[in-house]
Amino acid sequence: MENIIYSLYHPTMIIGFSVGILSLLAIGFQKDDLHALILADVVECAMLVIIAGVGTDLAEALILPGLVVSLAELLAVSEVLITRKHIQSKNHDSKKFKLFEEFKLPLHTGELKYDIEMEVLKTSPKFFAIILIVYGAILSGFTGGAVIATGLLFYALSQRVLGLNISDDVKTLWEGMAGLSGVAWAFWIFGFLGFFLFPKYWLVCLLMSGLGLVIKVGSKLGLVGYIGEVK
Amino acid sequence: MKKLGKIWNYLSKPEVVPRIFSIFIALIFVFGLLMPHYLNPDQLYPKPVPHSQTLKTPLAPYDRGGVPLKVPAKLKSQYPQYEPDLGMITAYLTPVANWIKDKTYYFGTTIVSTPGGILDEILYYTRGMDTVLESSILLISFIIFSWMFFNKD
Amino acid sequence: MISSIIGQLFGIVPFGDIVFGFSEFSIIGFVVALIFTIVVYLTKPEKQLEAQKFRVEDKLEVVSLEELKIRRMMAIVCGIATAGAMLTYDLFDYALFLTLVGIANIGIVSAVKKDWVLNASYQYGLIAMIATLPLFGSAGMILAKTGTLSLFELPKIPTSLLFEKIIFAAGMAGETGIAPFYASKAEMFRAPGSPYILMIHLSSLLLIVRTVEILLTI
Repeated sequence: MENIIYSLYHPTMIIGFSVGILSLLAIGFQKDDLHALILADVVECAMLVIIAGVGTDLAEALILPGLVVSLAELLAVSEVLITRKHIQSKNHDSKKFKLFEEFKLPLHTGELKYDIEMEVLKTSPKFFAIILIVYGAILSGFTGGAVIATGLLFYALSQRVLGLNISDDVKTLWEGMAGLSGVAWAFWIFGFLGFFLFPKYWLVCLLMSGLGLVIKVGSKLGLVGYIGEVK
Repeated sequence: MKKLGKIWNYLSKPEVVPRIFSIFIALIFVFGLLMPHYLNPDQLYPKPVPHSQTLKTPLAPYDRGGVPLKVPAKLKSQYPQYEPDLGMITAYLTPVANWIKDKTYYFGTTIVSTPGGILDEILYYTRGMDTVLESSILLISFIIFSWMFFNKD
Repeated sequence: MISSIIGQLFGIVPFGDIVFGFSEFSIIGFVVALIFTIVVYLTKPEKQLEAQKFRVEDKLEVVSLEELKIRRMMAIVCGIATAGAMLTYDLFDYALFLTLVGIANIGIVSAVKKDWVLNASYQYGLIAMIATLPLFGSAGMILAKTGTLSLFELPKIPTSLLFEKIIFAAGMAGETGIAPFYASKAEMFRAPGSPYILMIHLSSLLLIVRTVEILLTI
């Protein structure tokens, strides 16, 4: 049986290059800084398409670093843009909105006539968050970390939509979680080195790496949901 | 001569650099559309033919052979001489994964995400340095992000 | 061909498929990057005296302690990443090192709270994001064409990689700020806090040299 990936490679490359060229030209003629940032993310999708075209297990493993690099750069560069805009508009202060605050239910802004309390609004975010976190813990590794982070993000954002306060001590929480994440990162590095220093105990190293990565990625990306709570 | 000076002046603004750079890359990429692309059949870590494992093995599509903790899977890596445990991680299944495996044919992607499996072999062991760098990049960008966020005023 | 450029190979440190090699060429780059990292760790930042337009008095720019800490850390990360990029003999790993250096460069200047510095650093960040397409895309195409990413194996394969090399060089040109794309990096050099800014410059120079070596050998 002829493997289909050999005949699919050329069309994949054409698609990857087309996406790349179109988004690059769009960056060349954009009119706004924010548009450029969003279009740069589209450019990175073209990169993922080109790597994925190879169609081996190696290519599948190489996609993950590419994806994370684009995510990390987006995180840092967007914060640079926000700080720059903040410095530019320091004098005339406008009203600032937290993330997702605009979706606040009428129930909690007082615009609704009747007092309706639905139990499901309070319980379902917890339910979904717990399912995602447990599933992420089973998966482990980078995928599991991303799933856990999704659960934490979903919980934080839905609390905000409901108009509930999360906590006043978010900065302490933030620093504690960031410290935990750093410790997990060190775990993962030790696990990686252990593979080559003590090849006999590869199973311990494997579990250590998987555990370290899941805590690191999950805690780090989950913290993004608490933006805006800090005084 | 005057025009050349104008071009240099235009290039010296930081705002135009991403535009010039992206148009430059786009022009190079146009040649990529015209070129023939082909895939070398001699690849590292090859995948089996798509859909050849579906409903035949519970680990589909990530079944690469081997018995957990006993027989390593057969992999084609770049430098097997530097990797004494090659294939052991691919063959390993956690107790949870073993339990899922006995129940259903449809959870191959969940099983490969638990510790053990071909992707963990490549990401943690044979190309582990890539993942070290990747997690460092995430760490550095998170440091930049949180520092700027907390020190805005 | 390969031996004539990198010189004698003294030894290798294998991490599975990714091999770190100590050749005459890479040891020099490694040592230079490490020496400058130590220099950056030991020195205190400069103080700039800025002349004011339409005013008599001058303005003293001081780097505060908090800012100093984060910027010194980013400069050290940048130095270590540059040193690592000198040693690695894997194409994809090298592209990741380039990206790490790029993001550390953003970190070095992003702590400065000035409009024009942040503008330059934002524009540089955009270029770094765009440059991942040529860098990783070229690595993926080389993998497809030859079936390997190791820089020791690539010279043995007699395939023409001209287009992939051009793309890789273009990505490196954006990431390190070569001639037509210099403006955003040049603005970043003007930010106060000298030894840390020096690290941006040194890392781009070393990376250019190393990329040229890689492109000539494969």
